[in-house]
Amino acid sequence: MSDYIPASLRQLVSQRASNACEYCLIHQTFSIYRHEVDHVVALKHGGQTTAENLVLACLPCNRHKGSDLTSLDPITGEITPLFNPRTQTWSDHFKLEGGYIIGLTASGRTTIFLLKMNEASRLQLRQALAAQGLYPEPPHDLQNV
Amino acid sequence: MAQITIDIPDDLAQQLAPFQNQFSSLFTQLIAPTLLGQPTQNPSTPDHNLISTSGTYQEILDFLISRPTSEQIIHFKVSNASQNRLQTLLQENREASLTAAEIAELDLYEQLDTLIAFLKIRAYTTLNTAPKN
Repeated sequence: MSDYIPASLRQLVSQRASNACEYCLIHQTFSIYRHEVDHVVALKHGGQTTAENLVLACLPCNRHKGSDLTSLDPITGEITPLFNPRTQTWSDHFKLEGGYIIGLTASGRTTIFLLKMNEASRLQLRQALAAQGLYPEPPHDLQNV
Repeated sequence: MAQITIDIPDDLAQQLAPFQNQFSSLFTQLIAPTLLGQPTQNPSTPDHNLISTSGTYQEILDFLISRPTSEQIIHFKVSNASQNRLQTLLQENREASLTAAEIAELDLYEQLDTLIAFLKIRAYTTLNTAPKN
């Protein structure tokens, strides 16, 4: 099984996301890595390597999501689908307070929980970025870095 | 010998003050082996993990030692080889087939990323508060 993604498709996914993680919104300028392309529905669940099933994700979001499609809502304890950046709108499911990401829906809360989006070091980083006006969107001259 | 300057909180500095003259050897004994992955947890593939981990780590160390400008810090990215290694680990992570050593390697990559991210913010702030000619 291979996750091979052609360079042209990678470029499309990155540009479509404006080089920011589609889960936690952190821009790849502030990473030493390029954000990775991730399958919303993993290949092992029958997901395809097509633009409609690909998202741009930072290292921690990508890592914690793994191949999962659902997790438990930390409030209700119910099995809940994760936020899907392709079919859903970020601001319907999350809102920002400083660098803190708040879940507005069951999917939002579940995604924050599974992807550990408010883990201390990640939260501190986003707060530091936000304090300098670099989060959620960096200044224009840094956006294509 | 290369010198590294790091910013630490004042309260931590106070606690560490008694050990001041031991920093260099403490760093070598405690931190470097952990970060470099020398005591690998998977004896079957020690060389592979050692080499790949050291690659990314060495790259970042070499970069920091080169006295980079703020501009260079903001634009710093690891090499394609290091990026490809990360990609491989994330793919194995999706297949839930990471060894303990590889999990430690991913942990290290995340920590390094956080460290340099804060440096990038610092560099950006420095550039933007510098007097313009």
